[in-house]
Order: sequence, then C-alpha cells, then structure tokens
Amino acid sequence: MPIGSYEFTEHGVKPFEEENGATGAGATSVTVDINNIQQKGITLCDGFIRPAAGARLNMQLWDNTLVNQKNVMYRMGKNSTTSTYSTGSSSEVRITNENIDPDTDEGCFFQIWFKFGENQTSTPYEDVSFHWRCFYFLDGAASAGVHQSEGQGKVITAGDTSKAKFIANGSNVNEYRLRCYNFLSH
Amino acid sequence: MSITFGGHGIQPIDEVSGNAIYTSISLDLSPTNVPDNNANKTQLLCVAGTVSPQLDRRLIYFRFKDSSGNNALLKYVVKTKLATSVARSANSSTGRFNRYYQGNAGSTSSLAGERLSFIMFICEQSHDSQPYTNVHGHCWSATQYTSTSYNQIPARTAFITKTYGRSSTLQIYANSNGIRGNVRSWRWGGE
Repeated sequence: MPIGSYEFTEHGVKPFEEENGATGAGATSVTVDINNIQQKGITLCDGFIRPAAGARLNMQLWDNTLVNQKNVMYRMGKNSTTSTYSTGSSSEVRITNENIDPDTDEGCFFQIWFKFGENQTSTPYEDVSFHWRCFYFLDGAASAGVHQSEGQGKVITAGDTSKAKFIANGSNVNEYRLRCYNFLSH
Repeated sequence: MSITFGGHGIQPIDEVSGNAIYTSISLDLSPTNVPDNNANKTQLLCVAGTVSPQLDRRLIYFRFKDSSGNNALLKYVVKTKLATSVARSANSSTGRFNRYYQGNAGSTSSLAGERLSFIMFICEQSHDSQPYTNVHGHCWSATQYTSTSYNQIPARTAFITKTYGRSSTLQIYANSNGIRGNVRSWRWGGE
C-alpha cells in the first residue's frame, strides 16, 4: 500500500533504500539515501559493513546532490572504557574508534537513527541529529574482540542533509547490506 | 504470519503473558518463509517485555532458534553503567540481557518488585552467501540486582548470530529454574 514515498506491506514498513554489495575490495565507500521525508521526521539506517582490511568505520553526511558535505559535532563511546571520542566540528563521524576485523563472518553491525529538522539558521533552530548503536569485531582479536560503540551528534552545516556515505578508513568496503526505513514523518 | 495494523498501531505477532512459570519464554519471530526465505529479504523486529526469574539471583539469557529448533550460535557483549568491564562471548548459544544477577524479591506482589524490563531491536536477515549477513540487534534493559541498594542497573546488549539461516523463535530464560513474564514481539518493517 504505497502512500507517496511510504510503502506499507503485509510485512510492515518497506525500506525506502536498500544497498547490497559483495564487491570484493573494490568499493571505496557505500552511500545511502537517509532522507525521503522532506527534512522532517525520523528515519532508521540498519545494516552491516565489512571492510576489506582492518579499518575504522566512518560516516559522512552530504546533501542530496553529493556536492555539499556537512560538518558534524558528536561524541562516541565504547564498551569496557569510560573514555570517549568527541569533536566539536568534523567532516565525518567515527562510528567505531577502532579497526574492525575484516574476516568473513565479522565486520560491523549498526543502527543509526536520524532526526531531521529544517536545519536552518532561523529561531528556534531545529537540528538534524543522529544517534547510533554499533556491534563490531576488533581487528586481529579472537574471543575478546566482541565490541560495542554508541554515540550521538548533530549536523552543524545548514541546509539539506540527505545522504550518508560510509567509508572504511584507510581501506575499502568489501561487503555491505544497508536498509533505510521511514517511520515518522510530518 | 503477516502483520495486523490496528487502531493504535502495529499489533504483536506473538505474545506471552500471565503468571505461569516457564522453562523458557518462546516468542515467534518468523515462520520459515516469511517474509520470504529469499536471500535478499529481511525483517525488522521489536521484542519488549518484563520478566522475572522463578528464584532469586539469576542471570537472564536469550537465544535464537531456527524452525527446526536448533540454537543459533551468538556473539554478544553486555555493558552496564556500573562498571567498565563487560560480559561477552564470541561463541555461545546463549546471549545475556544483564551483567549482574537479577533478583525476584516482590516480583509478583509489588510494583517496586525486582523484575527485568527490556526493549530489543532485531534485524533478521540471515544469509549464507555474499554479502554475508546474520541476525543482529541491540537491547536496552534494566536489572534489579539482588540484595543491594541498586534499584535499577541499565544494561545494553549488542549481538549477532554467527549461524546463518533464518531464526524463527526467540527464547528468554534464566540460568537455572524457571521464568515468568509478559513479553510481546512485533514486526514493524520488512521486505
């Protein structure tokens, strides 16, 4: 039952975006549409990425044309430590702060929720913000390598935010399966 | 087992409620071929509820089973706000909601009784060829630790299955003796 860009089936909300790939070591990044709700509401990006070699997972946010990159501020933490990674202005988000294991059944599994707003310099300001949960395997580790990271942040560049580009820092994206859902609109 | 959309939102696909003691609480997540056992199909699920162990001082576990009743092997990590150390495993048929023991004082007689409440989000898309996928998910819960002044201990669990193939049942149980609870599962997305 499609209603505009929203489609509800017998199985529930149908993803508005799906990117699957098993391209080997050739993909430098994978980009998904995270915003089909006209800049107001909530979407979810759920999936996994496995790098070609041990690498941290970074996320960049862009406008719909992939021309204008957004700056962000965020704080990220992980299990088994009270330390965090924080920045007041950055061009990308560290979803993990450690290298992810590239082995076949490992990688990085995550949920990222996006809250959209007008993101304009008008009063009251309404931010585009996000928070995430991530489960990943530490590169090179055995049974102790089961880790979790989480964080939240917001976009600090005005205007449209529509795309998320995932990058295996210093490596390539080997396998990925990402889906984005829209649940709450306006 | 398609979902039903009611006047208040998506209705549960399964529900266990009442005061009965179970060896384990089992919830349907997916029959063998729903939404479709095709390689590129998925479902997004939510399971939430409140449980209490039959006896005091127990760990609350969960596990996934396929349609033949086989346990999936799990990798998981649990952390709390009370410690920097975590509970985790890279190869277990049992995942944990909590790092500390769960009590059951007053569990059936008091609103302030010791029970564990949780919300679990599950992406069920297991697939055994490239791109490889597993069941993966995240859980928020709060333990009430036996015989201490810790009223609520927030815990966060992240997990994947390392066994490929569809998972059709989620079981929740204690490390020994029985468990009771009110738990529901919903499918809110899928393709």
